[in-house]
Amino acid sequence: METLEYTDVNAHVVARCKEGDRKAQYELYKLYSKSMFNVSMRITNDYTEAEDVLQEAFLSAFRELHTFKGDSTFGSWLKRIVINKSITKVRSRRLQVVPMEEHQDFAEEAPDYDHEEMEYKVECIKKAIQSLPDGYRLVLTLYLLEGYDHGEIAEILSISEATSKSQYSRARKKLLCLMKEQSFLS
Amino acid sequence: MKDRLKDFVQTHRDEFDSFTPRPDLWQDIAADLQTEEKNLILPVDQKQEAKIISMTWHHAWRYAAAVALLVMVAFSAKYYMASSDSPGTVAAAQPVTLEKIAPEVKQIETRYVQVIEKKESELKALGAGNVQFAELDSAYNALKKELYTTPNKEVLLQAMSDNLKMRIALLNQQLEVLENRNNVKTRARHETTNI
Repeated sequence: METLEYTDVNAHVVARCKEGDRKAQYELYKLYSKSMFNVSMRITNDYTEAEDVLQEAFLSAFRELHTFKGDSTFGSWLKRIVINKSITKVRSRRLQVVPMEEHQDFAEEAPDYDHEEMEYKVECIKKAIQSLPDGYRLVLTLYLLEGYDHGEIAEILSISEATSKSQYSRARKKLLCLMKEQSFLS
Repeated sequence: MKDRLKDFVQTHRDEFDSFTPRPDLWQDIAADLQTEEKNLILPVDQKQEAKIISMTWHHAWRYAAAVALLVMVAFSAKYYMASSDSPGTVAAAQPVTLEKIAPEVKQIETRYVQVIEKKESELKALGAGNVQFAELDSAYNALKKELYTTPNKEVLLQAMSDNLKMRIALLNQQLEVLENRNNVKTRARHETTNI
């Protein structure tokens, strides 16, 4: 129900954007630029690249707006563009995705730090996410922060759902491990 | 399996969006959009044409609304005139002339009346009196009156011109009869003189 209302709120702004209304385009930019920038920041882990992605994403969103049929919200449609562009950036930067199996041994040997007594802190988690390797960070942020399920992540990254699940659990272990290290250091 | 980490992140979701892009990024995007639009419209005429058509379709509802409004006004005006019990007040408020309602009447009348007058003068020359079209006259006048109130103008105009045509036909018959009679008379006279 809430989603439906949400779509309706943006629907007429999106319609005006389709006519090339610059003010309406700016309205959507104001509404989404910050959250989209953070989505891209988490995937690319690079301020300049995230800005490039944001610019490219908004440009292609306005250019391809006629293909947006409104079966999802404009926000989630735009988010997919941002994610796809961010992934392309990461992949072209490394020339290849960090092989996901690279950290497998570590992850399996690492103890589970997620005890009830462990206290989470937002800053701590953010720092740990930034220190994760690209492959782990991708699956982890898509699942934890962008709210996709493993089926959707599998589609976005062209991997199987099982791989997405196992990658997430490894990334999660690694993240908790990094957080533990940080708390020791601080 | 319960995911404490996920629950924690979900409840603190907003705090994770802490980065902000540089404030003038929109200016760059707007500038790029501007150049893209120029490139789209200027070099290819066809594209411009396509855009015009789509705009027209987009505004089609406005034209449709205008047309609908006009039709409504026309209908309500007609209805008002037809249902009004006091034609005097209507006439006072809005002087309705026959030219306004049906300018065709004048054309029809001048066309047929000329022919009718010609026939009548021919008849006179042949020694016949004026032909009286009492019934046709009253029918014609009734039709003409109806023109002010009817929505079915075309049918009435057809009936009026039929009325006038009928007079011409009658006059033609009369002429024929008279000519025949005269012919018979002259032939008879010739015959008598020949004898």
